[in-house]
Amino acid sequence: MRRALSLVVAGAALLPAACGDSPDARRPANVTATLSDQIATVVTVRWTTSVPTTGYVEFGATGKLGTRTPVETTAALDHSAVVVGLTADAPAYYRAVSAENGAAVAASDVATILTGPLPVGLPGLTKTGDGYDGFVIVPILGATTAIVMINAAGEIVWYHTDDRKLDFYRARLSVDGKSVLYNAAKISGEPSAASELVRVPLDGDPAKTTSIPVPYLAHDFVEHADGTLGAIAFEDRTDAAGARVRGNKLIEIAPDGTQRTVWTSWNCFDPATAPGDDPAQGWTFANALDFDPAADAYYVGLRNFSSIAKVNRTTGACDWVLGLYGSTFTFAAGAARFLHEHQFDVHGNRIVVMDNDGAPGDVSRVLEYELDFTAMTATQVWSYTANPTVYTFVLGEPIRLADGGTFVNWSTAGQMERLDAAGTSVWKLNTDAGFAFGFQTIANSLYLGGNTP
Amino acid sequence: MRSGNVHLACLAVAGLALLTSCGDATQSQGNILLKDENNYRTMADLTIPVVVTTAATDADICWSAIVDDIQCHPVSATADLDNVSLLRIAHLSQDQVRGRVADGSLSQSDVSGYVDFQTDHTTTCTKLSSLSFFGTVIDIPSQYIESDDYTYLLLFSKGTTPGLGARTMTFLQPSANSPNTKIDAPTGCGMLDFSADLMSLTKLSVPSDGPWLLDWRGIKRDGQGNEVPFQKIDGVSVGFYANLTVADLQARIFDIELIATNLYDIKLPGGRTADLATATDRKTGETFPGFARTETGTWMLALTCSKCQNPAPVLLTIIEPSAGGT
Repeated sequence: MRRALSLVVAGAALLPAACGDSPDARRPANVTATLSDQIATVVTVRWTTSVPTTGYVEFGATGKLGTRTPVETTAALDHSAVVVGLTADAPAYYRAVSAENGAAVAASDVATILTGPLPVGLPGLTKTGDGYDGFVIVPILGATTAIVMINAAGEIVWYHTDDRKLDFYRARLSVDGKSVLYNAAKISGEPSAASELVRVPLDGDPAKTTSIPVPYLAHDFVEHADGTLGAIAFEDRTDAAGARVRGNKLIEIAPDGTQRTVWTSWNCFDPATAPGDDPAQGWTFANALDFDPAADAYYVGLRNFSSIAKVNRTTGACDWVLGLYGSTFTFAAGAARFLHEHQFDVHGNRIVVMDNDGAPGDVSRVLEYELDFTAMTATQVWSYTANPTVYTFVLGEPIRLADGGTFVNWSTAGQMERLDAAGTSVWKLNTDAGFAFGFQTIANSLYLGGNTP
Repeated sequence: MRSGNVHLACLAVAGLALLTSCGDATQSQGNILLKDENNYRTMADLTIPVVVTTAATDADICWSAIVDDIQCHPVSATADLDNVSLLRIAHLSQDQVRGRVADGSLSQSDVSGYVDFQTDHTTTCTKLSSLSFFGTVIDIPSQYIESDDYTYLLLFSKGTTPGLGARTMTFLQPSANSPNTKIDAPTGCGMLDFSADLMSLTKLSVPSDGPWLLDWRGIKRDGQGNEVPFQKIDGVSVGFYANLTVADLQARIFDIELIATNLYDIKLPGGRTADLATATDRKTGETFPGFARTETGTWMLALTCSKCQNPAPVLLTIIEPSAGGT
């Protein structure tokens, strides 16, 4: 245990129950804070109460606190909460709070603990603009391989590395709010039989870190609300001539560990008639995955087809395909076409796509289309190119935000941007040379799977 | 000015002040506190030669002429060079690239293409078309083109981490008017005009007998005046130079590791503090014995960053052992 100290800084507990004539049995006592051995910015706060209560921890960079952990779900005498989102090598202020029906009824005094430094090797990040106020959970690729959480100020507030000699391409907060999930895989050259989906707890405890072996994982995975994982992987078959055809499959791993194949490339395409355009990378080369719970459907990006397919989760059939090869949509006249796309975001009858190679020259861009599901036409309605232009030869992900803005990750260019609804860049994050971003998850909070407690 | 409440709160824990802080993230944790005034000042200017070759055409790349690096230290073209890499940089002129390489401020978004070739340590030539990345080779007709939008920088490096360990370099300039298809890598000595001012800094006072808990969270700028890359600082070195003066060290700044009588190192996992008592002799592995010496000489301390684009120490200062600390 690296450090454990709990120091009273401010004695003003403002909650009524804290200042009565007799001690409030609900008031947190014996409050201690401990830095994680693995992650120097993560603090575990423990406390006790004299009667069973539920509680949470308020914390922040100043005595004003401002952020909180989720309320415990079970009343108890012994309590703990993992505090994440703190900056490195800085004092963190916190207090334990007892709650009834979600409302605070008693609190400890505010105390402070000094977080530790970040480990050597993480990239330097440069933030410009203030137009983003959330977090980014993202793999780092290049000179260092790691999973990090980055705050709106461009500071790394959480990190995790492992030495399995694989790359990480996607990171997500788990839906149970307790862990970070990522895929450890290899997409350059031969895929890895040792690839895994890894679950690391927020405090980084290696004893609680688990992984699910899924051979030949590809770039992306999703987690369903019930904890089921869906992931894309490579699958090899032989054609009539005995030659290897490297397609893809979509695998689901149920919470009980049961695995099933939901879909394969062969469900929707025939390599004899739709060979794709880059056989050195395989046949379909699926590289991106989203899930639409309302439609109970997956969206699968197919790099070598420059297409995106909507896959029926129950039947494994392709409901539609948008793109260059196998498309069931017709592009409206004048629509820019995407080439070797990576991630995308379907929202209603719109889709934004990271177009890695479709623009003239080595310039990547985001394209948005309006989809007419009756006429089966795709009409380009928007595009965005960074200024100055950047090129992400692989990966890259746009997300349409609720306010009409867009979050764009130009992965291998080491740049992320937050655009407002008018398409103006209002926040930008850049890495030093030598580092790239994997697929990202953005979140308002690092708890509850990204939802503010 | 702090509010009264905070001030009172700090007073309330005055007895515990050594263990915590009251709102100041830069609370020191050592008895030897480094400040910007202790740091050296450097000036770096690169002159990178240009090789013009036929645009959109393959070329032979040879590095047998490399005999020293940009710091003028000897280099074996076969044994010491592990990687040949080509960076295509967008939106920056050769002069702008030269400046960013010199001060280590090249951003990943500046780099619009990267391919490399790992040497076999026997031959000293390859083809431009042999350079690749993640299995994807350079597409010379479309990616090695004459364009005002791109600057091409060819690096010859120790190690294979992109952007690190460059021993020498040259710009490539594709031109439709050039018949040249041969790239002979230039040797490194003479490219870098580097000077360091060790005479103007405030010497770092350290207690002769310890403890020597060094704390650098107070520094704001590196020797070149750039922001300090705190999370990349991965080493502390303490050197003793018998019978040499500060002026001698300044004059031989490229050789500062080579001419030390004793050099003691600490490898850091991170952080902004280090205990010099844990340093070990680079040659013998013996623990740092302290600053007591029988011969006259000069003590130097450096904070180093092995993974930075710029290999110069982030901080370099002259130590003045005395009765007290800072």
